Formats: sequence, C-alpha cells, structure tokens
Amino acid sequence: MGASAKKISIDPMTRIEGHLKIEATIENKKVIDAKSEGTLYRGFEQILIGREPLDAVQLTQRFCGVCPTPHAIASAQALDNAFGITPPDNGRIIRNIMQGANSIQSHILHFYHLASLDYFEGPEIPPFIPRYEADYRVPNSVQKTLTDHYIQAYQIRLKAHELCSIWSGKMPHMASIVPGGVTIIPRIDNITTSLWRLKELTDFIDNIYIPDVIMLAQIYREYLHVGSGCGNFLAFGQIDLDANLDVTQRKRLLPMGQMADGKLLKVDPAKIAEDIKYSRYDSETHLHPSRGETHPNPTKKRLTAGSKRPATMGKSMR
Amino acid sequence: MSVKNSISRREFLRWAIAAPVSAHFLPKLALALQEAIKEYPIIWLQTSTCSGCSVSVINTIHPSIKNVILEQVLPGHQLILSYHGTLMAASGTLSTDTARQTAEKYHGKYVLVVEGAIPTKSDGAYGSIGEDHGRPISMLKWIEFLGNNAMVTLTVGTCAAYGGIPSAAPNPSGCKGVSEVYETLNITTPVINIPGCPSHPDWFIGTVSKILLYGMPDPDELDEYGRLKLFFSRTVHNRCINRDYLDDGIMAERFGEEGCLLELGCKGPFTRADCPIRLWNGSVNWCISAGAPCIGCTEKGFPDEHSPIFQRR
Repeated sequence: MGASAKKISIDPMTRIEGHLKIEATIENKKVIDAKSEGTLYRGFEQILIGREPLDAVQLTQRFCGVCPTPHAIASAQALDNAFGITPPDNGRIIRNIMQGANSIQSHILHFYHLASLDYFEGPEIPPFIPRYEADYRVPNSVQKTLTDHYIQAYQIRLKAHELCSIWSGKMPHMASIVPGGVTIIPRIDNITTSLWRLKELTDFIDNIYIPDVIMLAQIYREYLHVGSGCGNFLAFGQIDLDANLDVTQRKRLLPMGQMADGKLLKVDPAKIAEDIKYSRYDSETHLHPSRGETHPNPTKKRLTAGSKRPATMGKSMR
Repeated sequence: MSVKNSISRREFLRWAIAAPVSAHFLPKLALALQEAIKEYPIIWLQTSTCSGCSVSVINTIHPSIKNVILEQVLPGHQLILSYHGTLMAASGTLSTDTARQTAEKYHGKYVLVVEGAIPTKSDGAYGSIGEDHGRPISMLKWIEFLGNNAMVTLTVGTCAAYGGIPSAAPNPSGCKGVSEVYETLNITTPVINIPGCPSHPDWFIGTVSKILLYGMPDPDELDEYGRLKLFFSRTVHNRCINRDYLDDGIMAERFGEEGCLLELGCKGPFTRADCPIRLWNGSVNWCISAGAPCIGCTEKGFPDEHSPIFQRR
C-alpha cells in the first residue's frame, strides 16, 4: 500500500437485502483492497435447535424476503432427505414453478430497483436523491427510458409474485411448501392464470429487460472486467428434473457445480465448509455444515469481515 | 465528491417544466400545480428484518407503487420517502445523514416506519447501521433518536410490532418489538402496529391513509395489541372458506386432503386478520386456499406460541 492510498468506508451499503458495510482501500483511483462485513446477526441456526423439524421450512425461508423460495425449498429438501422421501411429480413441479416465478421477481427487482441506480440518475425526488454525482454516462434520451422502465418494472415484478402466490398461498413467505411436496392441488384455473402471467413476464423480459441489460453493458463496457471477487463460485442448482432420493444426484435445469481457479468441477458436498475465520464467532472455522457451530461474539476483534461464508476444498466461494 | 442533495417542490416544478418530462410525471405535475399537496416525510428504518415487508408493500396495486413514490399516496397527500435502505439511491454516510437531517428539520412532523425487531442484547451490538467516527451506530441508538422525534411510529410487520422471528427462543440477539423498546427508553411517541409476516400492502397503505385523512386513530379504534381493528378485529377462523367442512365434521388429516385444517395445526381460531376476505398478491390466493394452515403470523406470540406449527393447539 503506497503513501497515496486512502481508506473509505461505505456503511450502510444500501439497495441490497440485509445490512452490509464495505471498507475499501483506494490508490490512484483504483480499489486495491476491499473488505465486507454483515452488520446484523439474527441467529437462525440457534433458533432452529430443539424445534419440531416440520417448523423449519416456515422459519428458515424468513431469512430473506426477496428470496424466501430457495430457503424454503432447501429446507423442505433437507427434511425430505432426512425422512427418506421424495415428492411426487406434482409436488416437484409445483415447487419448480414457485422457484422459477420468484427467480423472475428477484432478477427484475435486483436489476431495476437495486442495481440500476448505479448507472442512471432517475428523477430529482427522494428516494432517487440525494445521490453522489458520480460516473453516470447514459445519454438524456436513455435516462428517460430507464426511468420509465424502472417504474414499469415495479408493476411487472408483482405479477411474478402473483404467479408464485397462485401456488404458494402468498408472497413473500410461502405457505404451501411442506416436506413431501406441497399442500396445493393443481386445477385448470390456476394453470390458465399462471400461463397468462408468465406470458406477460416473458414479454417484458424479452422486449425491455434484456435489451436494457445489453444497452447498459455496452455503455459501461469495462465494468464486465471489474469486481469479479475471488472468482470461485459454488452453486447447488435448482429446478429438479427428476426425484432421485439423493438430492445431489438429481438432474437440474440449472445444474449443480463449482468453479475454482477457472475450472468447472463437480460439487462434493462432503467437502463444503463454513468459513468463519474472519467473522465474529468463537466457533472453530471450516466445519462441515452438518457439524457447524454458531457461537456469535459481536465484540470480538474482527480480522477482516462479516458473516459465515461457504468454502470448499479450503477455498472461499461465492 | 459533489452531492446532489435535496430539492424543494418549487425547484422540482422548475426542473419538471424545463426537463424532457416523461409521461408518468404529467399527472403529478398537474396535481402539484394545484399547490394543494401536503407532504409528509417518511423515514423507513430497517432493523432486524428480512426486508419482506418492504417487498410486500411495493406490491400495492391501488394505489400503485408509482403513485406512492412518485405521485401521491392518496390525492392531495404525498409521502416523501427520505430514507429507505433498500430503495434509496444514496449509500454510506450520505444516506444516514439524510435520515438525521430529516429528523432534525421535520422534528415532530415525520412518520417513522420501522421494519424489523430491535436487537437489544449487549447494548445493541448485534445490529448496526452506519458509523460515527469509525464506531458502529446500533439499531437501538437509531430507534432512540428517530423514535423520540417522530410524529408517529408505524411498525410494519410482526418483527417490528412484537419481535417476531428473530425474537424466537432462545432470542439470540435480544430482539424486541418497538413498543417494548419505547417503554424501556421512556419514549412516548404513539405507535401503531401493522403486523403480519409479511404485512399486507393494503394494511400499510390503509393505516397511512387513515392517519393522513383523519389524524391519529382514537384509542378505541385500536385493539389491545396496538393494531387497527379495521383490519385485525375478527379471527381468520370465523371468516374461513373451510367453515362448512368444520360444520360437517370433514377434517383434513393429511396435506392435500379436503377439509378443515384444524387437525393439521391451523392457527385460524387464534389469529386476528382479514386475510380470508382480503386475500394476497392481487387477491390471487391466501394460505388456506393453498391448502396450508394459517400459522398465525399477525399475532404477538408468533412464532413461539404457535409452535409446533403443524400440530393442533
């Protein structure tokens, strides 16, 4: 770190779900180091201990109001697995519809309402102001279009919530998912109204959302090469295409996989660990989640960063 | 770094006339020109939360979220969303300064919305927003500062109202609802609870509109849990679509079976909310129509008093 290096702190980091702080070191207009810290602890791991297992699906999905579906489905699958059961086709497919619908909702919300205000300015009223007069490159004509699309995205994303809710009872936080499948029975009226909502969403995605992403990617071309983080990625995949008793062996529309040092690898669930080396816990680091411990210590002097983080084969993952 | 700070209505009008105005500003402009619009600054503080109540409230249909944010929540009344961690453009101290300045400038005149429980253990060390000279500012401190100076506090969601999910046993971070925290801190600002996990957009918009049009509700308009009776007076059970099953003694014993869901743990008899007639997400569905028991998410005892969720109480 040179003499001209400067440390900045961004706390809170807004337009995310959760509470986050970023500390960055900047030298010659370049970020040379960055640390992140989650600034809220709730303790779901502790809350779940000793409870009736069936309660888990309702509790864990409340970890996130933007993405309750994957939490609910993961929890239901863990219980399916523990009980040695697989959902019937209706249960599997309806879980997939709910997950798919919420992925659409979540992507639209993320792009327009969380991320896009980093790229264009919006109208001159709160919550669009105050803002930093930063690197906004979009021409005036596009500025107006993006503002219109930002508003339109609000109206369309709630259709994705409706699409999910037709099957889940309500959104956020789904009522209908239970170990073994779902509580709802498909009917022709539910199917018809879902197909029309999906068509409306597809029209928006194809004709507005994707063109906007491509347009901004062209304007901010070099952003494609910055901020890639550690470059290691871990994904469990989603949308089950079969009901293999071993969830890790299921064929998935978005398959399970991991990327480490630029190589695509198979996930070995036995090698997954909870990395808390830099976090405010008194527990041992890199334990397998099945043996994971949760002893928070908010006053512990932190080495660099935040919450529990996934790792596999000794590497930090995203 | 230069900062675009605030703008007055006069400046806004000048800007709106000079700038190429997109279609959705025109009705706002016409209404603004009538110069009859009352403005209400809102500080929306997210504490120990999942943001699900924000995500739910932006599902509002009439008024649309466009009406609420860019135009008026009801004709003639505009909310100015000064601070909202999930939606605002600003980050870091620029955002928290806005909250602080709004509270000072509109002392006693702004609406404080709290989404989330308040972590109180270890002097609030389990949750912070922003920092002061490098030291974290606890959510507890924010509640003390913003709560004291607000005209009214609206708790959106069961976490802010009564503690909710993060306060479930063993309550690892000492989470409490806003009223309980206010009591400890001797804060006398009135609190109206709008619970639910999440809260329904109509309940939030309805409560706000009631205050803007008719002022603070009379004490007899609220129930013993600080909720508007308008939305929370009758039980889910008494207006349930499955009442005929119960009357005929048809009880579901397994998920997916026809019948009343009491034996599967339905908390409808212990839950006051108008879900059976209001429905959710553009009225497409609600928990019981999806074959799932009510889990009692609008109640003070949620989730612990309703646990085990799927066993008859």
